[in-house]
Amino acid sequence: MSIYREAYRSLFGKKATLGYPYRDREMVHLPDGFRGRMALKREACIGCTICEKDCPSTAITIIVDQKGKRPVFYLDKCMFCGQCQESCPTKAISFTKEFENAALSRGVMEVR
Amino acid sequence: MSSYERLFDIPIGPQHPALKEPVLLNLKVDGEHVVDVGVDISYNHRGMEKAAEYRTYVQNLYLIERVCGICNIAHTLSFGTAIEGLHGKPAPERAKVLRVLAEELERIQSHLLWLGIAAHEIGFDTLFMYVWLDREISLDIMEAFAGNRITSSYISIGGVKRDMTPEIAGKMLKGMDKLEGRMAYYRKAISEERTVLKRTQGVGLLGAADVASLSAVGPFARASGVAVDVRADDPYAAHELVPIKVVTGDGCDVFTRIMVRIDEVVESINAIRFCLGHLPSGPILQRLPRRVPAGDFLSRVEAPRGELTHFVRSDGSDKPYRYKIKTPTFSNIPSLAKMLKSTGRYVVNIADVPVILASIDPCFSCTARFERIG
Amino acid sequence: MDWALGLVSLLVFPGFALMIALSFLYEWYDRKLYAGIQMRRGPLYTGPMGILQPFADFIKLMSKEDLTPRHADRRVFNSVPVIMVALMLTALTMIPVTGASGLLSFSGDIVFAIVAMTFFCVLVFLAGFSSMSRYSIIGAERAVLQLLGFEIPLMLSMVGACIFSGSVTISGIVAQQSGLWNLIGPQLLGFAIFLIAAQAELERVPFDMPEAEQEIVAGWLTEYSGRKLALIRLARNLELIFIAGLAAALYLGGPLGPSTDALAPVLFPLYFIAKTLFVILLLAFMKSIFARVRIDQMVSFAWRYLIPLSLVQIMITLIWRAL
Repeated sequence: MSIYREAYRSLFGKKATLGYPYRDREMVHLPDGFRGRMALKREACIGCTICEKDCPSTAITIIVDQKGKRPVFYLDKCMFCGQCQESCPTKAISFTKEFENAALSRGVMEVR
Repeated sequence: MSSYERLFDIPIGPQHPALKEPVLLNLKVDGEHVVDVGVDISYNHRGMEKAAEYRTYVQNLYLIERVCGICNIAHTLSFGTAIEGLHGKPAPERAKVLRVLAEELERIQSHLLWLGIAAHEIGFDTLFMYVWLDREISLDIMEAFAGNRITSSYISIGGVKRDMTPEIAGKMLKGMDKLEGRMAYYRKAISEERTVLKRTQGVGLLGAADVASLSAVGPFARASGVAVDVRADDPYAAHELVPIKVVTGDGCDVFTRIMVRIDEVVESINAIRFCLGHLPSGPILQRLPRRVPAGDFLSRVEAPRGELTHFVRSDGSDKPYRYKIKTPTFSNIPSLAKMLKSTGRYVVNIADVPVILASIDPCFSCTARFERIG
Repeated sequence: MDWALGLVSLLVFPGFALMIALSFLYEWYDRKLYAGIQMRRGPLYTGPMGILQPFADFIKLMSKEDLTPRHADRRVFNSVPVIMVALMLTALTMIPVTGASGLLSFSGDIVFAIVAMTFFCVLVFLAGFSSMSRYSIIGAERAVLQLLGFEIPLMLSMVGACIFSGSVTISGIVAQQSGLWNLIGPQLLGFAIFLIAAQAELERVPFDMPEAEQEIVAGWLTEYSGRKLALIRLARNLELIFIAGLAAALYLGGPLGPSTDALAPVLFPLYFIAKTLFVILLLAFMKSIFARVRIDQMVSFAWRYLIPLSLVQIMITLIWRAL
């Protein structure tokens, strides 16, 4: 009998689905420590290239800018495992809560 | 058999609505009754073991995690244990308890996922939706705890990546209370619902002797009264400390498997409560050198689906020389083939095939590691 | 001008156009209810609250590629969807919408209603068998097996309503209920049996074995695609209206209700819609709280419980009438 009661309650109760992409955007809740788009603290980076070596999906390449070597992240390859953050000796890499990273061109999906 | 013309071949798979992953069950049916079955699991060879030989141990952590999305913690735990075993330096005590915690949390979400699929396979979509809504509780906890819902990347070589904070512990305890209530509800609702009983009781029978001789593992074997559980038989991580009751049933049918899994979720909830109450202090990670000493190591873990075996051979470099994985589904396939054949008074209907297949909690993409040639 | 009025009422109101429009509305309503019970939202974005979703699905299917399997019996395979829609539209002319009688009303039209429902099952069998696919053939076999189970209780429950009102016309049964609905009288059991059997006729959970998705892909529907699938879906939605309308006519007093002469043309169709929506609410609830039973379990359930119960129901009706 219990499933009948539950069914009856759900019919008139609150729905579980969020209308996410078009409405209810503010109801999307992400916990602290969520791994979204990454951010690089340029001043902390020492250009050791460990992140590039450890990246399991080769989503990091090293370029040279005015201050020396630094990583570039390709979000289309990245699987957000967090190993670069783990490996970084100076804690220069962090992850933000930004999760809507899909884009139509690759240029937008680079984190420089 | 002269009346073989009456038999009809029904292929279930490799693409079929009942299957979430590719497998071929070639059923020979007589009317609605399944007379014989051929199982072919080699549809999704992903070459992961070979790929592991070309990656460093750190990169392999994430490759191995993706062998199975649902049991990712079991796989990484097994991998981590193996590499630490080669180094001869086990993880710190706090990390061990956190590993057990993550593993039990994963067991909860995996069993709830399975319960939903089992309900879906017998055409009970409402129960499926309810169960998966409750699964969200465990996934939300996992997200807060490890940073991601499924591929959590929580376990690392030498320990775990994140520490437990009081806020997450509080959230977890609250979620566990809620889940415990829901599990009691499902236990009641499922054993009261006549149509579910009709579809699951006496379906997919496999006695304890057969289970033992076909070396089945996991909740599937436990539902036939065979108490095999790596957590109790060969404790790893902190399982010596965490008391775990091995849940068994003696119905040997799909209904018992449902009940055993529901009870295991309750056991996991208790284990998580115990872990949160007995969390030792100390570091959560010890850094290990990138080069791993030469040697072999075999690690066993009780994944949600059963015993999971990882074997690694190192030649002293930073890449494994050979990596071998045996997933629980692989051990259960002989039992599946046996369950799907009608013998004597035990009759399998076409309608029973999806739920019998689901009852071993199959994960074929994790299992396919060989290619049939010729 | 009489024939013109007749043509308009046949083609537009309350004939084919209304019924086809209602069929989309009811599919939407059914999907919303089913989703609501499962704590989902159902169709949401096409039109206000997704009300146009079934229509959009129909248009989409109409524009899709239409395949016929090479080994199929082409003539039967291609004609079944059209015949299904035609059959259901014909049957729907018997359903009273604007008054006590439908567009067509003759002595014994309730027998025609039963024939239409049985013939729909025969069409299902033909569709499955002519596609020559393994899944379709098993689905067709199951459809016929299921017919053995649910048809007799369905008929007997309708016979009960006929005996009670002493009439074999739908209009007679409706007119007799102008005072008290059959449902409130001795027909409560008959209504329940009718709904259970109707669930099987409509091939919905728990009796959707002929198209059990997890077992035999889509059963007899497996090989249908494009326009033909769109027509079959339309025919099944029309069947849903037909069953709901029949239940309303036999047990809930049809479209009749409190009104005045001037308001009747407006109110009666609204009463009809309200009552059929109530029947669909019950059907959707039934669909969502059970698991699918096996075909052998369904047939034995029908013969063990439904048929004896429907005989008991007829006895109660006879005794009630005698008193």
